[in-house]
Amino acid sequence: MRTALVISGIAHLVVIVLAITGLPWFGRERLPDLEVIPVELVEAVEEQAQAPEAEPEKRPEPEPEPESRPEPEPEPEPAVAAVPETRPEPPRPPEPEVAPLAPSTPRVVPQRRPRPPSRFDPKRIAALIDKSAKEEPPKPAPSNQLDVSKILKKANRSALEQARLVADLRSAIRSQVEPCWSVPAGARYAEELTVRIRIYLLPDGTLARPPEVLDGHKVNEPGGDFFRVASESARRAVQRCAPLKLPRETYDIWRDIELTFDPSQMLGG
Amino acid sequence: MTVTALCRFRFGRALPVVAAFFLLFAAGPAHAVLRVDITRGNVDPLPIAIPDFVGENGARTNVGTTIDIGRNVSEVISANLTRSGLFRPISKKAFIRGAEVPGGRPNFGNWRAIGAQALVTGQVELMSDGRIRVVFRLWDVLGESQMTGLQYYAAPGSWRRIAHIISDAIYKRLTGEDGYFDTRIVYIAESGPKHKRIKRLAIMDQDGHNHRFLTDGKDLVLTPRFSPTAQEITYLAYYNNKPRVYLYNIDAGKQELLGDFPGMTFAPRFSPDGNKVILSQAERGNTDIYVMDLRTRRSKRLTFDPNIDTSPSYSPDGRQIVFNSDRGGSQQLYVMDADGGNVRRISFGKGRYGTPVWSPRGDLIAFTKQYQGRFHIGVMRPDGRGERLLTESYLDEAPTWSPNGRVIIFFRQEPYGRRGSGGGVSLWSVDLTGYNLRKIVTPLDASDPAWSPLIQ
Repeated sequence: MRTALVISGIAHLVVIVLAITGLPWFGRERLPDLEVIPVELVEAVEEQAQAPEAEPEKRPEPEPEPESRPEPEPEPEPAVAAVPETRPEPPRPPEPEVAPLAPSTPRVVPQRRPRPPSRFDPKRIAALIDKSAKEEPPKPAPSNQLDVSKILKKANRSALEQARLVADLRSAIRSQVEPCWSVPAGARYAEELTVRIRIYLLPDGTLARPPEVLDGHKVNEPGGDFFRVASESARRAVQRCAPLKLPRETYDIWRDIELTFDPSQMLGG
Repeated sequence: MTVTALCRFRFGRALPVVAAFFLLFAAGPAHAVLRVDITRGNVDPLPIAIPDFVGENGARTNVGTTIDIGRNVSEVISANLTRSGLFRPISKKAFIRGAEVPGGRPNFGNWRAIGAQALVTGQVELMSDGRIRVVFRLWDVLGESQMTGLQYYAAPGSWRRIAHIISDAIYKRLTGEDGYFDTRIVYIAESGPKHKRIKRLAIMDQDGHNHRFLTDGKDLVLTPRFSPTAQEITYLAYYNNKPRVYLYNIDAGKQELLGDFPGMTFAPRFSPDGNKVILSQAERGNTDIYVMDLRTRRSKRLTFDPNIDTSPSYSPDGRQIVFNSDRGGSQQLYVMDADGGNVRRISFGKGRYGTPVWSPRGDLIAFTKQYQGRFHIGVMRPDGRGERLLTESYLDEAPTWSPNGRVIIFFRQEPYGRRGSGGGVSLWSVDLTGYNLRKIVTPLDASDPAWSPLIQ
């Protein structure tokens, strides 16, 4: 009986002590739940992620590649459709053109290089040098490793730091993948087409193997064509963005990622 | 003692399990899956490369060599996809030499380098029987795989249609929706001064080619509508100053009067099965909705309201009809069952709603809205929720859906100037999302468009 009382007393004491000391602790730990995402990091990475976009002017010199004649295409044509023979065509009056009003969609046009300065006009050279000097200040490439590496330097990262680290990684991944994702807008019920993609990364951020679409069976369900289009758009986003630029020190955390592509916020409403 | 022994024994057996359990949790954090939600993306058009389809130099047809046909086919596909607003064909100038491999696997690295995410390759061959064989393949550049591949045999003169059919196949594979490129548009071509306007029925491919006039302009024609079979048009014509609804068979080039109603009939539209025409009839100042069975030529009255009920349009399943009526005081949209029962109002916004058209995919109703002196083309769900206005101008009217329910064509009128100038009408298209507003160039002024279903 006495032992029981003592145990009970100690237990109560522990609960009370926990209640007093635990409250502020809980309060602090809740912070990461709010998903405080450092916005400046998002912006910085976004620019960088877009950099590897098509740059036609950078294309390699047109060196004639020793093009080995390809073997006959192994894939058989999946379908053969015959187009009906020419129907009696009426005499053709002047054919109108359907022209977009807006300037045609932006095209990848090779940019013209600055003209070489004329040797005979020193003033012009000076002007050009000045101009290029104005234009050229190279922007320092934004780094997305800043916050994370600082945190890592501290030995024994606390739970709070760990949570913040994960939040930073999430935001870094998000900011790199989002610009690469072309949302399949306008499809029927597009806002309901959420796709999960599993990716496995190597320490340098490249894909260890092709991205894996989870719930792949939905392709065979009614409306499967739309799911297939949605899942392909998600897969393309990952492939376009790879390699992801993430701090190598935290590889353990980001080697295995499940991305959920959810267009409802963009297309809903 | 026995109990302790048992406990020890059990604990001893369970030890590896417990250890494994703890190990699992200990190892957990290192290999946990990092879950990330991607909720934002861009709606930029998909970059797609469409090199010229490969032909043979000596292979001559009555419409040029197969090289010419190959180049023309790729240009038509490129123009179709550009106009859809969902694709951005990459300039051929950016192509890397050596990336095109006729008939073989493309060099994907070279296409990825110029930012292409999809690639269309194809060949045109002249067959011994004078026909051409057009092969095309759609490639996923990032996934390095073929997405679809088809081939077509046809007379060389049909190359333009083949290009439209290939465009539809690409569109279908990359968006999940059926395409709408192998379609036609019928509309009213207008010419002449304001008070003596000549209106002719005209038809053209959806890209403006193969344009021709169907009527000579002696009689005034209005509101043409396509049959779901794409061979017939119903429209309103003033013959001897009497407005009547007519049927026109495109292939036969014949028109016939649709029934003889006592009053004035207008706003005709086919039922989804093509067997009925629904229209409005005005008699002694009252307008109501009637449906006529084309096989029996019998008509049936559907509304019995003393107010104006007009502009009826069937739902794609043929079970419901949307129309506009001023029975509630202002012109609003109503839906009723196909037999005229169960009438309910669906629009409740400010302004006047008119010319409702049910989308071929059933999910939306397009309409014209007049509010504060401006006109809009808008869409709402069949229950009236989710109203979105897609356009705004001095006068936008007569929406018509693409067969896949993604694009709306309508006509826009410019305001008149002080001296009676202006007032021109032209056709425009807009995407369901409200983006990609484009003018459709026609030889004359154009109004009252109607989009055909896919050509069979």
